[in-house]
Amino acid sequence: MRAFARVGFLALALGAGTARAEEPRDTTDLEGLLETTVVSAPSKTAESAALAPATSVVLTAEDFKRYGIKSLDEAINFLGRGMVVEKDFQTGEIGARGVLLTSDFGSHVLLMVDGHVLNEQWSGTAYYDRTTAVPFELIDHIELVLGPGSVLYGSNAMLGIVHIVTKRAKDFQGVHVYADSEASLAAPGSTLRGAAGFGRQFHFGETPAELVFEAEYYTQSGPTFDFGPQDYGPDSVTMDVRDYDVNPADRKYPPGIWGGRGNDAYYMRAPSAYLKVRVGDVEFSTRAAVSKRTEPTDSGNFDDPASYQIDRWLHGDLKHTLQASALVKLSTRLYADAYDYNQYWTSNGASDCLAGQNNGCLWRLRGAANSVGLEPQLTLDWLEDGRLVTLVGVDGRYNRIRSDVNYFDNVTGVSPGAIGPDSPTEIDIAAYVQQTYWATRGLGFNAGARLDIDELYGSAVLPRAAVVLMPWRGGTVKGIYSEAFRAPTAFDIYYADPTTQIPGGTSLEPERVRSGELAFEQHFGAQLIELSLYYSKWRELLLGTPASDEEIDAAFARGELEDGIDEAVQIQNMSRLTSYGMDIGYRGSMAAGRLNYAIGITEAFARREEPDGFRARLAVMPHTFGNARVAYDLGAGLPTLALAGRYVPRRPMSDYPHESGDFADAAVELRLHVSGPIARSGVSYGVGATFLSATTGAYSIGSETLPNGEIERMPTDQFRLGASLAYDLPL
Amino acid sequence: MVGMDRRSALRTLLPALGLVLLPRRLGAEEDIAVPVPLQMDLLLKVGAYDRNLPARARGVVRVVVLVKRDHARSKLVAEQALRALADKTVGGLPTELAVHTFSDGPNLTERVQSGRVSILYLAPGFGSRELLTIARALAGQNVLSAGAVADFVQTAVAVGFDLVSGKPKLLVNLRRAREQGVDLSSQVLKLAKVLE
Repeated sequence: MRAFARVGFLALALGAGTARAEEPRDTTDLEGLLETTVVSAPSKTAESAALAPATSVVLTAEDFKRYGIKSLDEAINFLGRGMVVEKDFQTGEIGARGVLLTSDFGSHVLLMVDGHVLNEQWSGTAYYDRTTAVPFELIDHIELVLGPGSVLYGSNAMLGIVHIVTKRAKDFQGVHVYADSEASLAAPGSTLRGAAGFGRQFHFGETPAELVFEAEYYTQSGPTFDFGPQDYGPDSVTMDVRDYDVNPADRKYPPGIWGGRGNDAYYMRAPSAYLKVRVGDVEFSTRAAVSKRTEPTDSGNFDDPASYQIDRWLHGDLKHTLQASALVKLSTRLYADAYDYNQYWTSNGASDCLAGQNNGCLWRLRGAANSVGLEPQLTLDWLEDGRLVTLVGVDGRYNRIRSDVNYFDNVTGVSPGAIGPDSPTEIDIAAYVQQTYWATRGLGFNAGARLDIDELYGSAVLPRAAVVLMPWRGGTVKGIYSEAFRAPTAFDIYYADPTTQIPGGTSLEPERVRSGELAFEQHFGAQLIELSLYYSKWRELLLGTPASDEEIDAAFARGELEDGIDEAVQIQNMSRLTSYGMDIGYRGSMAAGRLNYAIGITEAFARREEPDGFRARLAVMPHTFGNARVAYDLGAGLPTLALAGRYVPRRPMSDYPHESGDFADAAVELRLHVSGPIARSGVSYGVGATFLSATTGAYSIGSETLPNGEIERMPTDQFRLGASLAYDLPL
Repeated sequence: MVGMDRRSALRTLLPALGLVLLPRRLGAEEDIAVPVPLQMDLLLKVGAYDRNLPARARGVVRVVVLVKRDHARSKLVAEQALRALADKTVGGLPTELAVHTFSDGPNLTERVQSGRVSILYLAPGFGSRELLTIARALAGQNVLSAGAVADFVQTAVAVGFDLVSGKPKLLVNLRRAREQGVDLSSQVLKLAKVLE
């Protein structure tokens, strides 16, 4: 037996004989502690968010249930802070703290599930909408880590990290069945989702083990909007009038006019499944998912269901942790990913196709990435009490990437051959180190750096340093400096189209960002106020840029462009960007946690600067955005009433295909949701209504204008009613 | 561009692969879902709501961390707990901290009685048989027991901590609490997941 004494508070100890216990009058302090959020993404260690070396926001499954949240974009927009998702039909484009880069396919944010990166290795794409395709009830919480986060994770974490953490078996015991549906009232359409899951703790021999699994199927049809008319005139190659609407039965406009009722090609089908098994120190997780989707404008024709995109994913992740001694912990992760993407884009117009394809074509883009990687990681707790901890890791990954483009003739069904077929293989190696030191209980330091070496782009060093100070009770002040990068992807480097695009080439440099941040938070019992101020500078931003005459001539010489093409774009390191601003958040609870409320506001300014000095505000991204919510649990089997709202002000319209300088209307979105159990049945329900004030969004449609000369704007789904049922059978 | 010798890279990766595939029999790492410093804050806060604590403590709250012999993680968590508890008070009373290495039930009972232990915190590492022994040793004693691992509350201790939806959850085993003379206010129980 080792017995020793550490007597606390000397003065109190000396007066111990006269000390009196103070029985607390209320439980607000305890409620406050129980509202502490715990995160693991910022430093790869579970810690209170207040002490983490980054500003972090936790979105909880409890709130998903209260507010009827069923997708990542809804979770971020209604419950998050600092990040925003703007919907372009089904696709969510994510931005944070003043920066949203349109058409980046989510590649400036790192998306992970249980520590496994979901950004694929062909183009860095990650989806922040229904195409995230992680069965939703299996999500325990989502960590939003704001600011550059490459120090431990490498590429993509420029705006931040979205980390999905799935449930443990103890929180998902038994059999679960879910069904939910939403109906669009303003424009007919509906969604339907069914899911089933299972969770169980058991013993594998003497070793504790657990398993969780959920599979879901999501389908969306509509809403049905009217589009156009837009008059494109005769085809520029054949000079014939094109027939845009492929369904003559519901043709609204005569041939040559684009538009009509979009009732055939606005759908999504997204099955997904996730399995996690843990036996002792070993954990295995796997995800399989498919997302097939289209919308009426995503085609050379109009409302053509044969035009669609489909993503398929399969990943496996095997983790092992070994606490060898109080000093040494070794973790190892072996992971593999298989991903492919196909886009089928139909057109009846020769001008969209290769020379000689006068009856139109089917354009098909294929991309695929298969990866396998290994990440051993060593943790050294030098003082064996958590005060001085070194984390060292190596992450090695082998990628095999394939992509090509084909134009299949509409009449013959034949492609003249794959364009720009590429199948590069590459090895990325990264090494990182992180040192944490708690000098006192109220003063901590975290410093680290990561070196990434990649065959495609070279190398990058990403440092981070943070100091955490707790100067008074309930208060935390943090200063953070961090850098991040996004490596040029195989798509950036190799993608080519003989009618529109020259390959970016192997001389592309990684995009870089560096950021400084001052964060403050203060707990008052169960109330918490948070404030972050930040400034960041981006450089070497990759941008599709009109190629110069010399570049076009060189492309012709290399056979990369078709004869007659006099305009093309090329991805180049072109832009710089500066952003600064602040996030403010307040959240709390009362009445023993039955009343919950929160508000979050982000005010940020960003300017993009071209080499010629041209400066522009970023399209789509609002300067100010925020959300607020309140929920009350009536208790005793009665329902929980919840109201959530969010606001985005006027913001520049997307600059593709029109650089109009127009602004999208401000929007308020409100959601009322009622949920609760049906007594002793194991069944629970949710019903809700969502209202969006704006009739149009921030994206424009078509390259022509409406008859009144205005640019056509993307319609919004203004009013939706939803209902859900869940059945939980504990075993 | 930095070129890389693929063979050298694979030579680096392959030995590391072995680390994953090698069988390990050094014991499963139990779940400590809630960071230990946060557990200590919660434990001290809950202790303040134990109506029997003042009488039990008699001026000084003696907190003992129970560790498993030769168990690395148990030792590590104990040190983290002691560091987090240093200089803290419980309901205005000062604390006195100690570590006790578990040997058997009678020894634990003796330690709790003779040391007038007010709060006993179990570090990880204990198997189901040991937990039953600990539960028996503590039955009838006057001590607030808690565990680093959420599952401990199912068997041995009165109070546990779990992480649900990214937030800590307080677990209370009412049977163990009664056996160990712990009397938590109904306000606290409203905030906890109560196991009967």
